[in-house]
Amino acid sequence: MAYRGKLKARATHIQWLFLIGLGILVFRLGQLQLWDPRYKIKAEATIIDREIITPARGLLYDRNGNILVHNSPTYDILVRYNALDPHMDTTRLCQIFHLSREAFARRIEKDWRDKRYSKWIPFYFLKNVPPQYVHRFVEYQYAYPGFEPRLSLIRAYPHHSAAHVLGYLNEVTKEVVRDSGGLYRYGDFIGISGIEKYYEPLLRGEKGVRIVLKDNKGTKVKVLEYSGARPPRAGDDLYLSIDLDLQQYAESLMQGKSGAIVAIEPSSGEILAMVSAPFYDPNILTLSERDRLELEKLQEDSLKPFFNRAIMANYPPASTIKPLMALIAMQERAISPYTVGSCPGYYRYKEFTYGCHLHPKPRNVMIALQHSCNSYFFMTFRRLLERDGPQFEQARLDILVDYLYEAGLGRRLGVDIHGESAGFIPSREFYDALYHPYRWSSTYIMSIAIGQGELLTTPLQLANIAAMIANRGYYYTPHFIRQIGDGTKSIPLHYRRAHRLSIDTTLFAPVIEGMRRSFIYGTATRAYSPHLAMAGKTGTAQNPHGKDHSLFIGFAPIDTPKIAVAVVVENAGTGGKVAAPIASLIMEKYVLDTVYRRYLEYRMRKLRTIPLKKPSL
Amino acid sequence: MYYRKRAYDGLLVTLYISLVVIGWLMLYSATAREWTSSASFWSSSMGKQTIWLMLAVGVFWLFQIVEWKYWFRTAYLFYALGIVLLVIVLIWGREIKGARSWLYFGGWGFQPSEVAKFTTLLGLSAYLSHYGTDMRRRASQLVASAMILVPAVLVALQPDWGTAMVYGALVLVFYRAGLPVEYFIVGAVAVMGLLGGLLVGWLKMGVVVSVLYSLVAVWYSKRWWWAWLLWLLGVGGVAYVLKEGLEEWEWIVGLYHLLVAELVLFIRRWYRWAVVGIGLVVLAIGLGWSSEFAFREVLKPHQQERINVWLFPHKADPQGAAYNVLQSKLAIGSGGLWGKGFRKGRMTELNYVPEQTTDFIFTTVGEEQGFVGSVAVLAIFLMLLWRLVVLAERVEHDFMRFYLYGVASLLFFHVFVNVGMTLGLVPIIGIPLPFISQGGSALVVFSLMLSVALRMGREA
Repeated sequence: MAYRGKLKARATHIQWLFLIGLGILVFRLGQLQLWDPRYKIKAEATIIDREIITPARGLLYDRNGNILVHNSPTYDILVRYNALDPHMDTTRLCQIFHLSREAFARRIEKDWRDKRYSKWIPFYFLKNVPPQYVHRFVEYQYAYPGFEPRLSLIRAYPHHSAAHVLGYLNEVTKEVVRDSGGLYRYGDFIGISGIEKYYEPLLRGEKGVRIVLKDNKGTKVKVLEYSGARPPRAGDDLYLSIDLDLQQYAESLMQGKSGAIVAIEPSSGEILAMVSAPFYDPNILTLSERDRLELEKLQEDSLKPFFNRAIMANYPPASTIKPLMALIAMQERAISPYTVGSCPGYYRYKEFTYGCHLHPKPRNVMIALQHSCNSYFFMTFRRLLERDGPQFEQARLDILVDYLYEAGLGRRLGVDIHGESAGFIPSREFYDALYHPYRWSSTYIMSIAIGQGELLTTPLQLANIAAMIANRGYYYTPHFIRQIGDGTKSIPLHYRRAHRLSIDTTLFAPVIEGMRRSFIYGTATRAYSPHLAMAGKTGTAQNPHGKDHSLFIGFAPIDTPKIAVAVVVENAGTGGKVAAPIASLIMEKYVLDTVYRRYLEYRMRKLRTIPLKKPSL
Repeated sequence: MYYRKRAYDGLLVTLYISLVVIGWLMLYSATAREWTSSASFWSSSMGKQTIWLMLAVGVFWLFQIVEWKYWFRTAYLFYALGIVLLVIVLIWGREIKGARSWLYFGGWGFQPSEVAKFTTLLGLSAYLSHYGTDMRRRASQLVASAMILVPAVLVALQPDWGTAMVYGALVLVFYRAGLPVEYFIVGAVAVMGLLGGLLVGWLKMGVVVSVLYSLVAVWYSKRWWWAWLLWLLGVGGVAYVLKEGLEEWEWIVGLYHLLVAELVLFIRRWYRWAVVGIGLVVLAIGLGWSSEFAFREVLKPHQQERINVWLFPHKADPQGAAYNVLQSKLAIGSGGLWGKGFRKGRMTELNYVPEQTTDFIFTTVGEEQGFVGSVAVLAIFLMLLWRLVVLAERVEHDFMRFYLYGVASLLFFHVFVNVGMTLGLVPIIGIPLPFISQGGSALVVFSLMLSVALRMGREA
């Protein structure tokens, strides 16, 4: 039995086999469960979905609580490519959505190499679909697996106005998504211009994350309370300084014209109205596919309706600069309020001759402003620059430029929409480069005195000067923001701080009186209103390309100014003819809340400077 | 035997009861979503399983009255009965999931292939314990192999390859019965060759086999220091070649090891082993080469995919063939050290793992009970196997010995393959985890087998 005895040892072998076998399993278990974290992480990723909840974008209100922009529910149609039925009735689908076959194919066949698209992830087939199409589609939805309507919110503008101020949204681009550090994802909307762009961080709110447990078929089972979950925070509502009534009234006056209106509340710098004509209805840019075409049409229009003339266009200020010039000259003691000028109907210095118009003798600053006397301001300008002798004329220009700069010209004011233009102040360096250092003098650059030549301003800067004069020497940076949300967040500090000019308050009296009198007997008599005491200054910018631009700045009431306004109407002739009446109507409308001069209103509305488009045949 | 020689083996009973209870609890957790939503507990699959469980425990208890001699005398009869059942199921069986493996009586079905595990084991034990049987003899080897092969082939015809392979586990009994060790060495080398060919290619595998061969030769060479030096030098060379990826040098270092082995063996004048060793290496390389070739040229894509799932999981389609194993690994891996707690396994609850109540029940253990719970379950199985071997060595008759070894081998194979499969170690073979997986016939048959084993343990 030696053999049988030997076999007994084999029991141990078998026991070892069992031990090693199960030991291998234990080792593998340890690998999976203890020291390889990949499985745990991947398991989480498999059963848990992080859903991003996009919050509602903040609404925009005007200063009286009227809603300017709200979120309107609409439908998008999403498609998951892999769920499509290849034999579906595409003809009927095209009929339901009023699509052509080509458009259908274009929307379905995406570039699958593009990482924005995946055959498993639903992508947008149609956006902003009219509800009646969607209702019809839902009847047939059973026949179209993979198609799914989804409710979404788009921006809606119930009043159709202030398009340039409010701006619009568009889908984020690749670059934005890449650089945002996860803030934006494909398909999100972002402000492209106007308030929507400037206050994007406030308006968009904070995205929420919901952590959802899903089963093996991808069905959501329940929402988990997890550390990573957070509710979305809706965007802040913004209360803008825009007065909707005034804005709409201003737009109605600018129809058929090109130009800009800016109205500011001098005591706060809040912009009451900002019109850039020609304008467009913001609703057409809420971007459904068909409206992309509208966008392109607007961009291609030769009148550039997208161009916000109120802050982007540079106009010569023309005579509207004269009150400021007078103030600077008086502050610099170049003239006194009682300095007498002479005007034979032109100004001549050697070979330089500049015409003036027929008006009473400018016996002081007030009368010169009242009648906008060019000769008087050429004299003033020369006195200002030549005060310390011919060798200091260039240095004196620096001082003038400093004053202009202080008044907000030649730089961006910092209004809270993007794209502002700086305008232009010709500086000493500019003329040094143009002529030669010390080879030019005051008489070379005299056209600055009457706001012509190289000096360029935006309508916003002009309105700001009007506000500054109305305040007798200080201004607030013009801005739209009035209140953020419920008011717990304060508006930026630089909108609450007054910028005081180094011009004595007492010097304003003769200037403002001259501006007042211009309505009674002067350049702006056509804009005279018996109901409201206004102060203003007209301007006629020479335009080498066509008819002169009509400009006006002004404010009302004189003693307690509530509104300062600047009007620019392109190719409309003299300032007193068009810009001044429009400005006076706006002031009257805002201060008195009614317009008494219906005839003037009617005339201004009817006036066209843009020729009617001929219907193309 | 009219007197009580020994009491019931308390450990075995305890282990059995704990396994059954653990199984019931795991199923309770895994199917909670189903039976909480159905009308009544008893009409759900869990209710059915509970009835099966009571039946199984009843069988376990009832069969304590049957002494081993009765099994011994009727062993061949039972064996024949098992074969007949397997034939019947091939003719009248109900086809479920592509396999004709179920027989139905009324509403209750059972799988004859499960029953045949028991009957085959009875018959085999009876044959092996016969005084005329000697596993060193060719005739006995052939008969014994045939006794396994016949039911295995019948099951494979259903087709149920997984269960058919289970019968292969009984070669462990052959080992104890005296089948020469050479067969196992050849088998091990063959398996190594096949797998190695697939895993690393025939050349690298050949190098590894040569290294092992020379190691064995040097080991038995009276530990000459220069032999060890030569061997270590060779190992260094192999490591360098593999690390640097010098593929044209692989066959040279392989050959070097073969030469070292031959040198040692010739000096010892073990000419027979020198020849056998070379033969084994050639066998491994040949099988490796053919498995590599077969994988590339003969196997169809879906068969390749199955092998990929097992050996190269990263190559397999995670949504397709590899889905089960991937989800199962994720579920187990997410359990961590302590698990997520009873009925808190999310992947279990949400049906991520297909077949999770039957073949993949271990994922529930892994996810909800964690490493600790899983190891505890494996420890219970190990104690059970250990105890069965201990009892087998105590009993007085070879029939009982081989029967107990058979039970242990079957249990081991089931546990290793089933758990290994959920862990991605073993290809997916649809066999249950004993006492834990859902399924009535397997539970009852395993209870019966263990009950008989327990009764035999009393005879020791």
